[in-house]
Amino acid sequence: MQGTKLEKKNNYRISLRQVWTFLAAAVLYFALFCLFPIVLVLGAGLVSGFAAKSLEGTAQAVALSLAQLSGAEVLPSFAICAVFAAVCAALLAARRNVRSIATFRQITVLLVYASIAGFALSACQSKVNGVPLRTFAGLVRELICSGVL
Amino acid sequence: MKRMLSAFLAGTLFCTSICGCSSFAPDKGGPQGDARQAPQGKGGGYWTVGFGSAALVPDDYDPVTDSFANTYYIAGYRNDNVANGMLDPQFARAAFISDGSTSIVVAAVDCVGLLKAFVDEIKAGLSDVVKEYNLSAIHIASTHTHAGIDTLGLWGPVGRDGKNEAFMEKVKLGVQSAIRQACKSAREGKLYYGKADTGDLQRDSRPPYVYDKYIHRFRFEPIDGTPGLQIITYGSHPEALRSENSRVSADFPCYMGRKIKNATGDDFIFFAGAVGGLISTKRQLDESGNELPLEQDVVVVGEKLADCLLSIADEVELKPEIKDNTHKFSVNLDNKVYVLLSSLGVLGSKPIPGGGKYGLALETQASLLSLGGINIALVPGELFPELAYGGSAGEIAANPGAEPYRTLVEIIGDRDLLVWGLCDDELGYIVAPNDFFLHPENPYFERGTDSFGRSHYEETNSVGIEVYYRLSEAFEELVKRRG
Repeated sequence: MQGTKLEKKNNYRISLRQVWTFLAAAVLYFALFCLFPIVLVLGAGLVSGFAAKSLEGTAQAVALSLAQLSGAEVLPSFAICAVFAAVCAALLAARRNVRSIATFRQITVLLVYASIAGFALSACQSKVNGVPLRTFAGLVRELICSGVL
Repeated sequence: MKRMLSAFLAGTLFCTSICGCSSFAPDKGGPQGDARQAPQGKGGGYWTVGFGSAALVPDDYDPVTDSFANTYYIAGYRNDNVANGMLDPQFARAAFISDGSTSIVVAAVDCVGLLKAFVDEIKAGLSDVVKEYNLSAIHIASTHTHAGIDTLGLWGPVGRDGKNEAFMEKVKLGVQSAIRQACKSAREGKLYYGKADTGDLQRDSRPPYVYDKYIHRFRFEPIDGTPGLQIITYGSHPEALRSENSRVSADFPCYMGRKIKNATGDDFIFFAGAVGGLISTKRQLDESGNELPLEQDVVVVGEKLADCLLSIADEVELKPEIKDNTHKFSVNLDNKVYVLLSSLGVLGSKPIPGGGKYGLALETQASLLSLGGINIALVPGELFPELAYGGSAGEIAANPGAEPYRTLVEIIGDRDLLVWGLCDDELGYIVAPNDFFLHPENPYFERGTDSFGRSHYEETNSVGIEVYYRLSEAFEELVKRRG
């Protein structure tokens, strides 16, 4: 029984290696979450611009209009990015010291969910030329549903 | 001999002080100007006023072939109206006005409109002028010509920015240059106010049929007898060239100004008044009753307005006194077309977090200016005249349940209130809330038709229903501040 207690204690002690892992992962995740909406919007603009060359009529007009996004000012939500970066980094750091395979897998799944949530929320909360990206996406969807596009 | 020499020296000094000042003609001086204050009033009942101007002609314009090498879009009527020549050039004009203790600059640009973000950019480049000449305020308005090169972005191909970057830079530098010239060229004189009835020249396309039929003038007369300046306000869209036109023009203000210049030597600045809902000039007819060709119509309209101004005989001299207060506020951005165009970068309006359907708002401002006791409401858009002077659509009002509001005349308590529209911003139409009506399924994209069969166009080019409520609150605040 004493041996079991020692094993349990080893699972929850934070090592210096974990701290470095946390910090490095937090910085990396923060950068990725911040860059994601920028790449998404500017990338959508570039792709639209290329696509416009092979389109005609209304489709071309829409593509040319969306191509303007390649020059947009995209502002990520730094608070959201920081929170999710911390969560993901903490999960990644915690996973380092886990000896149980089942626990390792559980934490990995949580990490994947947290990463996806981080990217999604970062995108939704970012702003394109001052307008929330989710608002812009909603308006484009409205135009498509109303038959204007 | 000694007496003659003293008299000669005194006379020389006197003549030099009168004749040695710079003229009103725009000079080509450098951007920094002299490091000196503009001459201040000596308390002898004189104003100090200066004028500057800058032509806003794209560098790639070829006057020989009357064509542009690059693509520019004519703003005002329809998308993708490519400019195919120039009838007359657009200008930026500015006036420096001082009563001896307070100094301001007012400027007007021949264009369809300038957003606040761009106006602030222009003002940011003038901090040296503000300091040098101790300016309390700089106000930059648009004349709202519907024949100028697009400065808002709305008139390119559908969904695409119609602005030309190089031309926008030219506008910015041109306004700054005009303002610097105005400050440098200031001289003392008297300021007069007068107005003239323009008769049957205007038309109003939307009830109630309310508009200011007077053309108003502040006339500056330098004491040295040189040509002066006329600051003119008229409540009409400068769109005599109508929708068929594809040539760049300042519209009727140009021809009005030319006739004034030829007749009096005075320079001019034109400010559009309360032009919303929708006040414009009637098509002029020839002797046989046929409509004049548009390029003749615009000249005739301009010259008729000049004739009205030249006929003013009962102007009053104004005591040098300036009061100028500005109030910044925000309005919810409910127009989804504007939201979409802002996110695409077509409209450079830079929304901020706010209320309304999209959680967005626009920062704007209003000012209450008084020149010698004549009050002027500086409004950041195209105000419906009934909101300034009174009147209602009555039984055919499309939104009779709207919250009641007071007119600007009631708020400011001045029946003779003037309005300068499109000042320091262009929010679009400022529609009467009790007649505000949107398309039920596709608001702002399509025009709504109310139960009386009336088509509501202006709402599609407005920020939303609450603009006038926020604007009236701003003027309530300005009146309180004046005390």
